[in-house]
Formats: sequence, structure tokens, C-alpha cells
Amino acid sequence: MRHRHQYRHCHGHRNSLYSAPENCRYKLTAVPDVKILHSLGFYPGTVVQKEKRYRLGGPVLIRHATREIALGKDIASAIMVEEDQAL
Amino acid sequence: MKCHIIAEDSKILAKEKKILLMGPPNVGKSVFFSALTNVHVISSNYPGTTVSYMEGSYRVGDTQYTLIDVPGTYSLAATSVAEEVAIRFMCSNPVAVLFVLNAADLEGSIKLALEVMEYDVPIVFALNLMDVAERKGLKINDRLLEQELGAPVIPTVAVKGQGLDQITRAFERILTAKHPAIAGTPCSSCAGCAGCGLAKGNRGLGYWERAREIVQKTVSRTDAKPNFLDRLGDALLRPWPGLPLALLILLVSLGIVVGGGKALRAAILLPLVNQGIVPFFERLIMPLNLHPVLHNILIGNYGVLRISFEWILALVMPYVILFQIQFAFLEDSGVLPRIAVLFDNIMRKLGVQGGSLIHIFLGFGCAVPAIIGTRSATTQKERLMVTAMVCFAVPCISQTGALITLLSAYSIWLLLATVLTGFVIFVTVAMILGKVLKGKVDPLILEVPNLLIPEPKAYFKKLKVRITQFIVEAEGPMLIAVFIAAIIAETGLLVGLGELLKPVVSGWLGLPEGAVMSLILGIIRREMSVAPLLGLNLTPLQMYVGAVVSLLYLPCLSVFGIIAKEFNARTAVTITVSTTLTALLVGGIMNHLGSFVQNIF
Repeated sequence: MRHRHQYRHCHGHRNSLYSAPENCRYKLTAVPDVKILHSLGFYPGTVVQKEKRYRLGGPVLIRHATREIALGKDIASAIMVEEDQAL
Repeated sequence: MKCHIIAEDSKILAKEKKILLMGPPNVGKSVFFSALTNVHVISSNYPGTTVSYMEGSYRVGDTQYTLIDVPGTYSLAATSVAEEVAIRFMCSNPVAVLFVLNAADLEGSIKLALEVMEYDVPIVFALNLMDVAERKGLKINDRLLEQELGAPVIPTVAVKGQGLDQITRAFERILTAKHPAIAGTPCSSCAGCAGCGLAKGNRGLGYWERAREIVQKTVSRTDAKPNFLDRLGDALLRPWPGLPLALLILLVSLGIVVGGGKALRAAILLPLVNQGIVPFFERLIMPLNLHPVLHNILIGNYGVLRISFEWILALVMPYVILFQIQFAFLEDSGVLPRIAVLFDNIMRKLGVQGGSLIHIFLGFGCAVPAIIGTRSATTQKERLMVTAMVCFAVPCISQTGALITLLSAYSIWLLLATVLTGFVIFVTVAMILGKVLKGKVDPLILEVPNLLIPEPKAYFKKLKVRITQFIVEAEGPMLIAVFIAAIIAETGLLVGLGELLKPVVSGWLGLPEGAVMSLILGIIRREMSVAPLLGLNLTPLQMYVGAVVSLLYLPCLSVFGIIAKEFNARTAVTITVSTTLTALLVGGIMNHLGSFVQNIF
């Protein structure tokens, strides 16, 4: 973990996975009803690590368990998150 | 193409003694299939390779079973065509299942395994990619995993063939030991039913928790020793240094194909044809002094025995071989999904998503596998858009080879101008279709595979299959095109057609009459619309117009056939008509524009 980001504000009450700051762990609070998301393990309550957001409307890179998954901007902005308390 | 097995006929579903090969996408199922049945299956390193199924015979003990390589699925909730196929197989009373777990990503694999086990079919687990898991610092207690899952778990590294014989022995034990009484509700009533997915969506969360529980018990983390490949894989995922690296990789691959192709052509193939094969046939035909027309058809300057070798062997073959060499490497290494992620923002602005970039790369090889590949796309609109974009402005490799020979012989600027025109058309087509077509395009959802050095044995096997496939599949239509060319040219039909199409070819496009041949042959094979232009020493403007017309011209017969099969005849006809009209329109405009500019200077 790059310590520089350790104490950045990771929380924001109504944040989507797209707009939330990078390099933080988030708990998903709302997930659109897209089947492939469920099959990849994105459920309300799942904890993921947001690694990177690509500029100019690019995707978001998420680490879930040992998988790295890229989510397009439209789907990432539809997934609501809150900061994962259990650090 | 015969490798595109499309119809999932019910005969296969009704077959008894079936063993299903299941598991998440991109976990090495096709490698297992090739190893256990020595029927070679194309396996590559991005999700969605197997979009229909492959079957082969697999001997366990003394009985012969049918092993079926089912398309990889993330779940059994039918989110895409590939998953519906998997469910239909699970419902068709298989005798057993070989489930491939991904040791480097156990949680996701176990979650799917729990869904598959709902079907109460005897199961053997192959814990694959152990080498990748080790590199990631994961140590897996497979004995404990065996107890948790209640079925044999065998660690394997399929690509190196480790653990395969234990799998066969495990099957021997569970298949012959006790007669497998299928407990639970037999699914015989719904043989081939699509909807009987027992794994309901809402119970999905339960599976994830159970999977996480098992993983916590059986997996212990040691310090990860990411080797150079993992670091390069991460680097390729970040815009910096990923983007420059990706562009470098694309340029290097293009350089290999173009440079290598020209070298192979100049050094080996051209002399072989010009000094070797053609003179041999000349010596053979000359003494027969046949009827002049027949003689010309055989050995005239458009003679079958001359141009078939000149065009197919010397012009197209070198580029096809080299494209396959570098593309198979890109496919197996896992670079393509990373490029898809990096360029998702641009592709999204075009109205599609990053993942379709992989199909467009396939289109640079040949449009047919690219259109087949769009089956893994989740919406019809995206499939149609990618297919149209490939048909409009993405030249297949043989056409690229012919274009490069035609244009670079004169000047590199002509080549760049053609590429630029093609790109502009590519973007306009995407923009127009984005607005015109109903429906939506799903955003990118892509699991990034591990970056790895392709395993030589599997790589060369795939290369052999791809090149023989090209020789067998593409040679037919090419020879037809050559025969038609010979007959049209040598029997004077060309002059008649030339008169007929004169207003279009010479007036609007400003090309010499001989160019009519390229318009006609272009219908059969795309590169055949470029080849005839080589002989008519054209001015630079004419060369550019000819190249643009053949680039945008309608796709070849096999592409027409595949669109009719994958979509419907109406789509195939609309694409054909629109591509032809655009080609002639843009060609004409460029011609008039060019001559206008020339008059000024």
C-alpha cells in the first residue's frame, strides 16, 4: 500500500465507485441488477479495493479477492459505495 | 470456415457417456481438452475464446467417453450466449464433470463450482495454474480443499501436462467404483432446457460467502514474489508506461508483419514463383500449342497458372503467415485485454467498449473469426456495430499485404493517406451506427488475465492450425477468383464489362479500364480487388483511389456468408450494399478532390 495515500479522505457518503478516491477499500452498498456483476461477485456488502481510475472517461480498475476487474465508467458510476470501516 | 462449429444440434445433447469440462473463463479448459483428447482446440489468453463447444473422445480405463469443452462461464445464471450453452449441457444428464479451478483466483472458481455441484453430477476438480498461484504468494492446502468440496482435487499445471494422469485415475475411481446413482431431482425431464438453471440469482451471495469461507480455511499467503512478468503486466495496465508500451507493441507487431512479409516475399516467394513455378508450367504448356484462348487462360498474363501463384503465394501468403505468428503471441500472452482496458475511453466515445477492440484486432487477421468472436458480446447492438466497423474499414491481413505492396512501392505517404481515410470512415461508421441502431451497448466488464509467456508447444500447435486453416479455407475462394479473372481477361469479356462500367470506373473514379477487374474480383476475395491494380502502372492519385475503393469495398464472399449465418440475410445485404456505395462514393470524391488540387499546383 503506498503510505502516501494512507490518510487521504476515503469516505464520502453518496459516492459511486467511479467518483470515489483511488487506492481505498470500499464496501458496495448498491449494485445495478446486471447478472455478470453478480457472477463476478459484486453484491451489496462485497468489499473491494479501488486501484485506479483511467482519465477521459476511462474504466475503473478494481481488485476483488485475487481478481483484477476493469469496469467501464457507466457501470462503475452506477455502483454505490461506502468506505470500508474494517481496515 | 470449418473451425466455426456454429449449430449446437440437439444430437450432441442427447449423447450418453458425456463428461463436461467446466470452469470460469480463461482458466485453461481448452488446454486440458487438447491434452486429454488430442483434438486440438484454439486456446488463448483472453476470456471468451470458446464461444461454441468442442467435443472429443476421452478414454478412461477401458471405456470411451465424450469429453465436451463447454464455454467458460462466471456463473450459471445465463448472462450470455456462452452461459446458456453451459446450462443446456448441465441439464443434459452428463455422466461426470471435470471442473477446472483457478488456483490463482480460488474464490471465484469455488463459487461457480458450488453452483455446478447443485446438479448432483459426479465431479473431479483440477486445481490449475498452480505455478501462477505460487508466483502470487498463495499456498493452497489441496487435501483440506478436497474435504471442503467433498470431491477429488488434483493440483495441475495443464500447459506443462502436470497432473493429467491423476485426473484420469480419479475418473476411473469415481466412474467405475460405484454405479453413480444420480441423487436429487434428475434433470432428464428438461434435457436441453435453457431455463432450468438451479442457481438462482439471489442465492448467489450465499455462494460467495461459502466460497470466501473455504478460501480462508485452505489458502495461506506467503510473501508474493511477483516476477518480471507480473510487474510488466501491471505496468501495461497503467496509462503510464502502459500506453506508450502498448503503442510500441502494436508498431513492433506491424513492423514484423510488414517487414517480415516483404522480406519473405522478396527473398523466397517471389523468386520461387518467377524463376521456379511459372517457367516450369510455361515449359509444360508451350509445346502443347493449344487453342490460343485456352493457352492464354492457362498461361497468359492473366493466366491461371501465372497469377494464382503470383497473387496467392507471393502476394498474400507471406503476410498471412507473419500476422498469425505475431497475433497468436499477443493472444496467448494476455496483452490484448490490457490494451482493451487502456483504450476503453476512446472506444466508449465511439459508442462501443474497450473489449470490442480485441475483435477488431481479430478483424485485421480475417473478418470471419472477428465476426464469430462477437458472440461473446452481451448486446446485439454491439455485435452489429463491431461487425459493420470491421466490414467497412478493417482490411484483412491479405488485403493489407496487397495494399502495402501496391502503395509502399510508390511512397509511404500514400499508405498513410489510405490508413487515415480508413480511420475516418471507421469513426464515422461507428458514430452513425451508434445513433441509428436501437438498443444499448453494455459498458466494459473485463477480468484482466495474468500476463504470461506463451507456452511453446500450445503456441506452435495453434500456429499450425491457423495457417493450415487459412490455406484450406481461403485457397478455395481465391482460386475461384483467379479462374474468373482468367476467363474474363482472356476471352475479351473484360473489354465488354469495361465499356459497361466505364462511366463509373473511368469517369467517376478516374481509373483505367483494367481496374474493372478489381471491382469484379473484389466480390470474391478482398485482396483480389487490389492485386489487379498492381499491373496497370497507375499515377499516384489513381493508386490512392484504387486503394481506398478496395479498402472500403464490400467484404469477401465468406464474410457475406458468415454475416448471413450469424445475423440474417437482410443484415448481410445491407452491409454489402452500403459498403459498396461508400467505397465508390468516397473513391470518386477523393478522385475529384485530388485532380482539383493537382490542377491548382
